[in-house]
Amino acid sequence: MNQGVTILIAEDDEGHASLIIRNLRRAGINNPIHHFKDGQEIVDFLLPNGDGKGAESGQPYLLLLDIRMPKLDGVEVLRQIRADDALRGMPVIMVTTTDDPREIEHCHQLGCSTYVSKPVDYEKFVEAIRRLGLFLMVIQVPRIGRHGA
Amino acid sequence: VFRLSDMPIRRKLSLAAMVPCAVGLLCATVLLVQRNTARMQTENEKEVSVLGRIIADTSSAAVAFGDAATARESLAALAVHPAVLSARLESSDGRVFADYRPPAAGEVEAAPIRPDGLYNSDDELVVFVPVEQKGHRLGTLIVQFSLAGLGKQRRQALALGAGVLVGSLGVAFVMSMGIQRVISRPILRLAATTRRVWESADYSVRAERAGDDEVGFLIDSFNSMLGRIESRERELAGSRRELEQIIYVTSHDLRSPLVNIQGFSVELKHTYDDLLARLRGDPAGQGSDVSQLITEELPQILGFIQRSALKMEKLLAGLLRLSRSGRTMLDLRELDMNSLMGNVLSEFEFVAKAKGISLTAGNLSPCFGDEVQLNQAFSNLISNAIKYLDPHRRGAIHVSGTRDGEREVYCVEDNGIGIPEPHQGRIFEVFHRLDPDASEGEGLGLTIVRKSVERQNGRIWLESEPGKGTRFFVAMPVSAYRILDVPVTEALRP
Repeated sequence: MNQGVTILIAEDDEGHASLIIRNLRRAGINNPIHHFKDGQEIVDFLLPNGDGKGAESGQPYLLLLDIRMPKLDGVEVLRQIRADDALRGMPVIMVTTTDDPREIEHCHQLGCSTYVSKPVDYEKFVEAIRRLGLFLMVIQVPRIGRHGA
Repeated sequence: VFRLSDMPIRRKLSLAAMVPCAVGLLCATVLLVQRNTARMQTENEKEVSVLGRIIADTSSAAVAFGDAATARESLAALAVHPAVLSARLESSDGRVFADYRPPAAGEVEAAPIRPDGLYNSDDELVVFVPVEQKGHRLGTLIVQFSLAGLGKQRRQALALGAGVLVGSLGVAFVMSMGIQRVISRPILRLAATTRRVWESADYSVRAERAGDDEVGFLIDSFNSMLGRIESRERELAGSRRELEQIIYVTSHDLRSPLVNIQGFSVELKHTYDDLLARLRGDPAGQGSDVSQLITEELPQILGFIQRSALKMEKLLAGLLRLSRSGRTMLDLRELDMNSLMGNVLSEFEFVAKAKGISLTAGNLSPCFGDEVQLNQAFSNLISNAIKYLDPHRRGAIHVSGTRDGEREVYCVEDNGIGIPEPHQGRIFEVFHRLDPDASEGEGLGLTIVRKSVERQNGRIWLESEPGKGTRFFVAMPVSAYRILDVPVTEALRP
């Protein structure tokens, strides 16, 4: 997998985040992983109107996004990402306990790349991440480059 | 097949008024005409007898002296009576002594001699009067009267009777229409309302009350029935919404710790395998450090499992509490809100003093509700207000009340941190929490408050401005079975 891809995890449950990271590492994915505790944090990180921590220009990202989070939920985060020109192409994997078909349909409409229900089948999960990472490597998009980087 | 019971109520009412009226009038008229004609007949007979008597007396001397000319003159006096057809004087031996015929009369068959008295035939009345002098019978006066005049009079009386009958029936009909409308209109309106309710399933419709009679009572009962159905419908909708939320909660909030328990059990298995491999000197386990596994890895994994199990228990306890809160019996009565709020505020007096919070209430008008439930609801709201005060300024919480039509709206206002707009509509949802790290609780307080208020036929909504404060409004009915309008905030609708 492309070592250049940074994996972002937006997940309010510490246990879930820990499990995801453990399983990714066990599967040999050694990419950098950032964990965000709610929707507001990830939006602040990714979008220019955030608090300035900021995503690196030109860095490819892959986002694992939980739907039900306090402050700003995953659906809203996804909507904001898809509305942003620079972030639009970023792969987003929804990872959530909701198996409500309407909710899933809604996320697909908003343009999530894949949808994974918890409890997670980690083999399939890792496979999905690898595929998306590979895809990312092959076509080299998206890069966050607001200033023409 | 015609059935009286199938007839429209308006026609039935008209019929009920008109039939007895018509029968009564008919009887009265017939009786009146009957009596009238009978009286005319007797009067006529009396008149005729008297006239006969007078003529007989005046002509008795002429008969006694055989003076036919004088007798004829006496008979000619009968000309004053228009109905006389003929008159003659017969002497005792049967000879016609004198006779009279009015000039206009045509041929009249002379009545044969009969005993003294009056004789009625179809169109004639014949009177036989004895002509006497000093007790001696000299002969008989025979006068024939026509009854045509009488018949005409009788017909006139009949026509008048019929006219009166028709006229009074007409008046009765007009009056019955008026009264009928007064009775039938509220019934018909009620029928129209029931139909509208049935067709639209809109239980907020109310029938208009017309008067204080049995129909008015019926309309009142109908309206209260609608009120009950409406409140049940609302309750049902609330339960349905709550049930859906609980299903969502079980699919997410309860599953979330379960995912941890499941996932970390697998982690436990991996750690166990690693440790086992190390113990056996298996090269597969060479990479891991035994003491790190035991002192860091295992406690971390066990910690996650334990916390998740505790969280599940807490959520389940919360669901039970919510379910119990909906099952208590309500005792709805008029409540003195000043004393109720006094009790609520006294609970928080100590905390408020300790934290320097100003906790006040204005004059509150009474409302209709359950004392225990409403006390709990306001306790919850005030406890929330205290919990979410802004630490950077002096806290102020004030309870006020205003009348809004059929409801009393109480407002719990604070100058706390406020609630961001996206959360305002969802704050009453089961287990919904704004910032789980910032405060205690499982996110059920406001869910239970709303449920309790709605069970008492009340409404709850809020207005909030982040950074400035929050106002919770509780609208309560001022009398029994009064269903309140939907609150202004559409955000409260799911």
